[in-house]
Amino acid sequence: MSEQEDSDHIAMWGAPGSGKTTLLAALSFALLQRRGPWRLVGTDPASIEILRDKSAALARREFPPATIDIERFRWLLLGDPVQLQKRFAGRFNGKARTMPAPRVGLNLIDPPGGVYTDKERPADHAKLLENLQRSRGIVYLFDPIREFEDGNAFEYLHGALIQLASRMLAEDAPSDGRLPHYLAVCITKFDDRRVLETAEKLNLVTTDPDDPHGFPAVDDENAQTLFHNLCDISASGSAEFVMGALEQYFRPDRIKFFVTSSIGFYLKPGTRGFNPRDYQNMVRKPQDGTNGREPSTEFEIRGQARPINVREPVTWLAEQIYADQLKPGNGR
Amino acid sequence: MLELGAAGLVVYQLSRDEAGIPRCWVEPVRPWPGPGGEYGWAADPEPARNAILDMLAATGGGPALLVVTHAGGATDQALAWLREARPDAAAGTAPGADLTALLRRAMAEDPLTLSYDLVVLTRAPGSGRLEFAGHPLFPIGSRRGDTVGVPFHCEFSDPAGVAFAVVAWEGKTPDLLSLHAAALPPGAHELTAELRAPGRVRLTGLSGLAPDRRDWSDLIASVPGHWRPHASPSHLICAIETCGEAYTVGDRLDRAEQMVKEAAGRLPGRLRVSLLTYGAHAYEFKAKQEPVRVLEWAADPARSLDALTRLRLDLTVRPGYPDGAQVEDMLAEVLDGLGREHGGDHTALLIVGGRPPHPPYARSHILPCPDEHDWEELALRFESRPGATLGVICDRPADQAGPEWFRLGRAALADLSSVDIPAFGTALGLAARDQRINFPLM
Repeated sequence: MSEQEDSDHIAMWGAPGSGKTTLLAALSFALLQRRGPWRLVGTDPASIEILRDKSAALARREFPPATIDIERFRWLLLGDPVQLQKRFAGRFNGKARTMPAPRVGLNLIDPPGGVYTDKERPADHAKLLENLQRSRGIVYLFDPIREFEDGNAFEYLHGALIQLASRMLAEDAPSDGRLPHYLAVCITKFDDRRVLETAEKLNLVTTDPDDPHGFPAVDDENAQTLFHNLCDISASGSAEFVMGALEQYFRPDRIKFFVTSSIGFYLKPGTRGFNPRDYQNMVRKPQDGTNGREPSTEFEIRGQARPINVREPVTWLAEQIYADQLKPGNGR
Repeated sequence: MLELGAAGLVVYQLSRDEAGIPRCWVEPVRPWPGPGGEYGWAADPEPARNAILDMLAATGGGPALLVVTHAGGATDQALAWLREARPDAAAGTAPGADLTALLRRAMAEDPLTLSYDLVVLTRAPGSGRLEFAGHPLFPIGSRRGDTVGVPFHCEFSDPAGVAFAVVAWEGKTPDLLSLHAAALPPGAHELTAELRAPGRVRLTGLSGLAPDRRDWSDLIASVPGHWRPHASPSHLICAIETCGEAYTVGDRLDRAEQMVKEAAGRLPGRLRVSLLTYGAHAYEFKAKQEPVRVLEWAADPARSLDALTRLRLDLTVRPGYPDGAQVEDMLAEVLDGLGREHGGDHTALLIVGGRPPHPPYARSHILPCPDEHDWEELALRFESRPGATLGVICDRPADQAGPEWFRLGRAALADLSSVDIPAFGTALGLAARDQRINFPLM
């Protein structure tokens, strides 16, 4: 990988178990399902294979298993120069310009729990910080269900951000003292009843009239409101500080919120419309010997996976990075 | 009343008790003061007069009647002094009369001043609730010798028999006059009540009638809240969850079998048993739902026990969806089956399982029932049937069972590993034969 490709990349980041692997699979799924200017490819045979495996698992209604050392795999978001040049025509000052296919790297940072503290596993911790430091955009996964049950988002995020900021600002301090990254905050698991009900109570749920299934959705401009409210009900009560940490370390105009679901809502086979009485798409796996006393911790997907809003955060980041590449004097 | 006899004065205290019954207390003889002689105390009358007037004062009040039963100088003189002291008192002579016997006869002839009832139970129409009532025997003014026939019905009673309590009504409070009992077979009977005297009612027409030594308050407390006809059969429906660990399913089958045997022993010839099994809903993609199985419906207990044995041999235990089971589908199936039946029987539904029912729509982590059955509505419909009882033997203790089982088992909830089957059977109402009604029914 070239130095340029390596530096212009997006890092997918989130607490252990926040659904990064599933999001990656869903992203591949979603980019294939809908024709757009971006597609996702692997940079080497191993990365191609692992992406194919994860997507295949999702197609089989299985949650793709986490992969050890996922950080060593690299993917690329390849943009269609024709489509993108139309969209970014203004950046060329009206002059025709032949551009190579835009390329934005995509890495998945999947650190084990506690890696943000450098006390126990300093090597992993250093790798995490290095990866974040080299990235231009970050997909940050906020899992409200895990937060509701465990409440460790702030603890996880804050430690890493402090150290990341101290490293980057010491090297090349921007004028406003904030990190230069674009940040896409993904509120995950919109398919979960508790998240959907919270959005409904806040009157944030809309339906895209073009959606043939009529699935519920939360517009991006309302996603931050939902994020605030979900933070308020976290188990530790510290999630409300997450917003403050994000605003402290990132430029407000470089943060955008998205309400996402990697698996989407359940649609009964043979039906087309969303059923508000029966929409849960995640189902606990039958397991011998549990008898309900020790519930299985394994889940599977009940119906077909229909990712919601997983393409948008990544392509938004890719386009911000691409737009920066097009800026005069950038040399790219 | 004062009797002036040969030996001295006798005081008779006459009154009515709370039940209006005339009572008489006869005090010991108060001897005359010294020898009177044929002409009384003529020699020195003053001390004797004072002594007799002191005896009068000691009676507490003025006598209403002075009766001389032994004529002579002393009694005549004493009567004169007493009449002088109590000029308002009536006086008479009855030489040689037995005043005690005369009074007893007079009191027995006294008309009733309060009405007398027999304590009976009545059944509230519809609910079958048992309520105490008084069946009129003798109204005010009734006299000795009046008789009345009382037809009644009785159910199984304690070994001491059906209690026949006669009470007098003073306002709203009954006073128990007499309590007798007779061990009678269930059915229609008739007794005859005869007023022998105020406070004394003789009951005849029943064999083995004898004074009842049972405590009155215990007898009152022994009356069940509702009447269940002894002749109607009971229907025990056992619904068994068949998912989970094999040994747990085996335990559930054991409990169902024990309950069938217990109920069959209590209700010989009057028990019908239904057996249903239910499992987990299938939420796998395009999976086929396994329906609730009705193995037997309203069958003989022996036949149902055979079906349980076959089930044990043939059963394939599947883990299935772990968060819930088809409890709501089973309730719908039970109601469907009962809908075809004649009402009136006692129906006990016993659920033996561990996984809670599915909600009718997405409202918890448990996925909704594919048929949108509402288990709460179905349970309520079952419970609202006359004589219906719903109980749960849950895999877990009550404090860990969860709100769904707590609701379903609000009449009877027990833990699979420690359930007391006889007590649970009683809680399910599988003891109609054991319902003891110790009073006559009207």
